[in-house]
Amino acid sequence: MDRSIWHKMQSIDSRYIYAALIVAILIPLFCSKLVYLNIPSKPSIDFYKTIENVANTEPSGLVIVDGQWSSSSRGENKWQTQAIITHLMMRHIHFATLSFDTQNHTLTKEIVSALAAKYHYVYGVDYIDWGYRPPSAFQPVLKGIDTNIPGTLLHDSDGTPIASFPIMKGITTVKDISAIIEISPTSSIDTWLGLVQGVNNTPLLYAPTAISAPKYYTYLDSGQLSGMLIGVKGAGDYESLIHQPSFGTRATGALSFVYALIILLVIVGNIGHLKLRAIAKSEGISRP
Amino acid sequence: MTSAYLHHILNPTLMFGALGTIALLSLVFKENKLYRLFEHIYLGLALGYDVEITWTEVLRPQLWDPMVRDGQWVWVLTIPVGLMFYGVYTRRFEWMSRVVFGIFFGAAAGTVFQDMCQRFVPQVRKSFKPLVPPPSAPGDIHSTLHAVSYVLNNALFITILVCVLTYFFFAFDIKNKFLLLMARSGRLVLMFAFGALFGATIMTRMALLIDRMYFIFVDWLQWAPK
Repeated sequence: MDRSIWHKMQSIDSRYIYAALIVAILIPLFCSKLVYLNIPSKPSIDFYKTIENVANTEPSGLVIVDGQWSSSSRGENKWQTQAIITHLMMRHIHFATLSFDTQNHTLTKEIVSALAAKYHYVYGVDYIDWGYRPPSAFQPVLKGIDTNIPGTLLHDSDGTPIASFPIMKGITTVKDISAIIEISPTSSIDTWLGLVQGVNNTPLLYAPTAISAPKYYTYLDSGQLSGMLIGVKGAGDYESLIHQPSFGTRATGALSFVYALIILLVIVGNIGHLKLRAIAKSEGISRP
Repeated sequence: MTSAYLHHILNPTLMFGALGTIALLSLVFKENKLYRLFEHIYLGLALGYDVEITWTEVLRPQLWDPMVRDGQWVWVLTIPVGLMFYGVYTRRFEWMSRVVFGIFFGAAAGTVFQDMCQRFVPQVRKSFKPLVPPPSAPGDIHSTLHAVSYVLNNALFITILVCVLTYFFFAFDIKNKFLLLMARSGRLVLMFAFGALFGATIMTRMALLIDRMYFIFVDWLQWAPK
């Protein structure tokens, strides 16, 4: 029996696979009217509910949005940031942005500025940019803000003392913060959990890349994390929860096509392998 | 093709971004010089950007300006302290680096201790899950179902926890058949976890590719609808 077809099924040229992958991604991008069944996962719903709870119970409370992502994880973290900031502004929640990555400060600022114009957010009154701090200062800054936020951070990104802004009125320690949102592809959430959430019991929300997410399910189970947006699927979930479909929704559709393609390729490869093994067995050969 | 469209796709920022994306993705088909060129451009840009931000956002406002503009010359003392780190490169001044490293290690150890306790103690505490359901809420018409699912969930959690912990008994040889079964089951559920990790890895990689495709076909070429 001709074995070549079964061999080929196990060793498809990777260039064809990449081409098929790009086609699978492009179908949902070009057919934007395709309706995708996007059911938000429980961690995303919990994330949304925590923000809603802040809006309902502490309307003048302040939320910290800490970004540690850069252009290398833009595909996931940018859309999470956009969906989260949109929700905060829709519910008119005050927030402060903080960055521990050189690129993140500019990238987050771009998103916030564009949305601030749309939702009429006023700098210093509705939101504030606490600016960039070097990654090496991450632990000392978190230890400092536990007890003294204005004394630790001192100035905003333009050099103005943060205590002089109306938004900072009554905000001195983390105990005055309504929730903390960490958007990061790294394990920086560990430090927030250990040095801030564990001490003050402040609701902590996490938006990681999908690759980092499985490690943190245990923290959801223990209640240390109040919600989690998992990668671009999380961004899509959030967009559907706030009824503002954008890239995340379309990317979730594209992901479904990609997963279907991968499953198909796994099946094709296994059929080839099993068929060759059956042929070898019938011919009395130990290995195909 | 309208002039507005041409003006858009010939926008240097967008065009350079698109060219960079195509060049870097071209590696999957074949190693080539265009890929190498953009790889170096990307690395150079990222490093240059880091240096610029470190100066404008950290060193100038927090060290240079307070000294030169505000006359707080006490900050100059931080420079010799920083230079003490470099004592590690000479035998004569090695002791200097040990002083600053010692201070940093002490501070870091104290912080890490607090960090570990605050993160893992709640995990251990929450792993003691009850197998007796709590009293049902008044008016709950599915109280039996909720109680059964509560007990099953917790029983499953405890079983998996114990099995996985048994798998990590490497200090002595397990001969008891029941313990061996538990250890094997622990290994099996670990495989499930690794499978989930692999699935999540694919999601991240694909999300990055989808974002780049979106940039090329939606933002730049505008072939696909916004």
